[in-house]
Amino acid sequence: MIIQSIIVLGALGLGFGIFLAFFSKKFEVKKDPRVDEILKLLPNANCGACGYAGCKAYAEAVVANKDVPVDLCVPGQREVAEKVAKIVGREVEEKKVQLVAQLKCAGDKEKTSEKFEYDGVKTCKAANLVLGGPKSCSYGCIGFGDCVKACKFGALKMGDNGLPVVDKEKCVACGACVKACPKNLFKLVPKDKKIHVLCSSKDSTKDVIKACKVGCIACKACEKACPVDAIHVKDNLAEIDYSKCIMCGKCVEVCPRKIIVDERKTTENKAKEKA
Amino acid sequence: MENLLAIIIGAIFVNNFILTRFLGLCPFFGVSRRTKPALGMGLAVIFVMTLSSIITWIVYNLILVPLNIQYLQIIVFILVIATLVQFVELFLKKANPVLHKALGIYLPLITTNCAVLGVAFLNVQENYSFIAALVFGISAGVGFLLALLLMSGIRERMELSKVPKAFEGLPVAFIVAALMSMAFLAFSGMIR
Repeated sequence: MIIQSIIVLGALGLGFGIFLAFFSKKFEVKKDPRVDEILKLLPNANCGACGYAGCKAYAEAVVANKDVPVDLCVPGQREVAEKVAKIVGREVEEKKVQLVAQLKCAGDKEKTSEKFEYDGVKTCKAANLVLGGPKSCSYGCIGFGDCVKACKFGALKMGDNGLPVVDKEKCVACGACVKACPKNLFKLVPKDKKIHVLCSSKDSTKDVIKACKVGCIACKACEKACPVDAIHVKDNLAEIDYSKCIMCGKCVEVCPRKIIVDERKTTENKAKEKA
Repeated sequence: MENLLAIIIGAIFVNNFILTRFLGLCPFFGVSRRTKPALGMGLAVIFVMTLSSIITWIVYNLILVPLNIQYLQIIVFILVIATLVQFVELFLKKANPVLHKALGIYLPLITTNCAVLGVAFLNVQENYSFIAALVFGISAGVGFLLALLLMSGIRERMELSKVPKAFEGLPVAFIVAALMSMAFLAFSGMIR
């Protein structure tokens, strides 16, 4: 009986083993070893800035298809792009301008009021569905921090004033916050340009004054002050053409609402305050 | 024919493997968060259950019984199931990598899914014929799929509803499972 059991179990085990061995060969998924190599290099945050479903999808695409650029990984920046290029045997193309996310709203708790008391789900997306959110300005930041949750690099924090703050050193311009904000308040701007219009309101002058203490009232003072024709008022909103802006700061000086902000000055001021 | 119908209804509703027999609870809670992986898991379980009930029936009745070594049934059944699960995993990895990823650890865990082993044992216990065993395997899998789909549908909606903080996630899922199980007990008495 013992011998019978041993034979039966042994034979069954052997049979199944052969069966599995056969099918593991037949269903083998061929994998390019370079995919794993690239995957190790990538930040593996799966932020999707490259336009693929995740780091793995991009690694597969860049190996499989020659038309997929090697420098799509935004958070990895040039360093990763060069390594990826080395693995797949291609060159990195000319460097693109480095971008960072910029919040285009300055209507914090003090500068705006609330239209009504919102008591629903605490996300911007949900609040936006209720008459565009509780804030007096229908273009302004709702402040529940959908963007903060979307940021996988810890570059966004909710400030005390109810507006998110971008840590520009940590920001890799993946664009997750741009997509997350139901008000489209984030823009990816060149990192070396320091002057920004912190408003997205397209309301008329009258409505803006009612809604917010700092919003752009489309007075066109900046337009006239600009020596290089880089700022224009379009749809009741001043907009900077970053390709032309020379950061002279003239628009900052003339803006009656102080909505055009020179980052160099604010950061310097902060440094002075600290010292 | 009538007998087979009784087996089908019995395995899907009256003695549903999850909700009445309480077998295979691990994947029931693990993979029921979203409907799509739940569907994939259910189909994988149907496949494994059907094939394993066929193969275990053959092995039991044509090998173990003639040689009078039925006491080996546990180890042999597990061998059969483990092989089949490995096969399913290989197949899914090739055919549908996304589903393979979504099922994650629960796919190899079908090996230790007591519902699958339960089907094999019940086949032996009830002395089913080959056809009956086959039908029982399929309908047990369908019952499993049904419970999984119902649960995932409920859990998807539950995510949007307000649940007391202490009950969020798994705890409330257990409560829901208990309620569903009570509801399914209403089928008892339909057959014998």
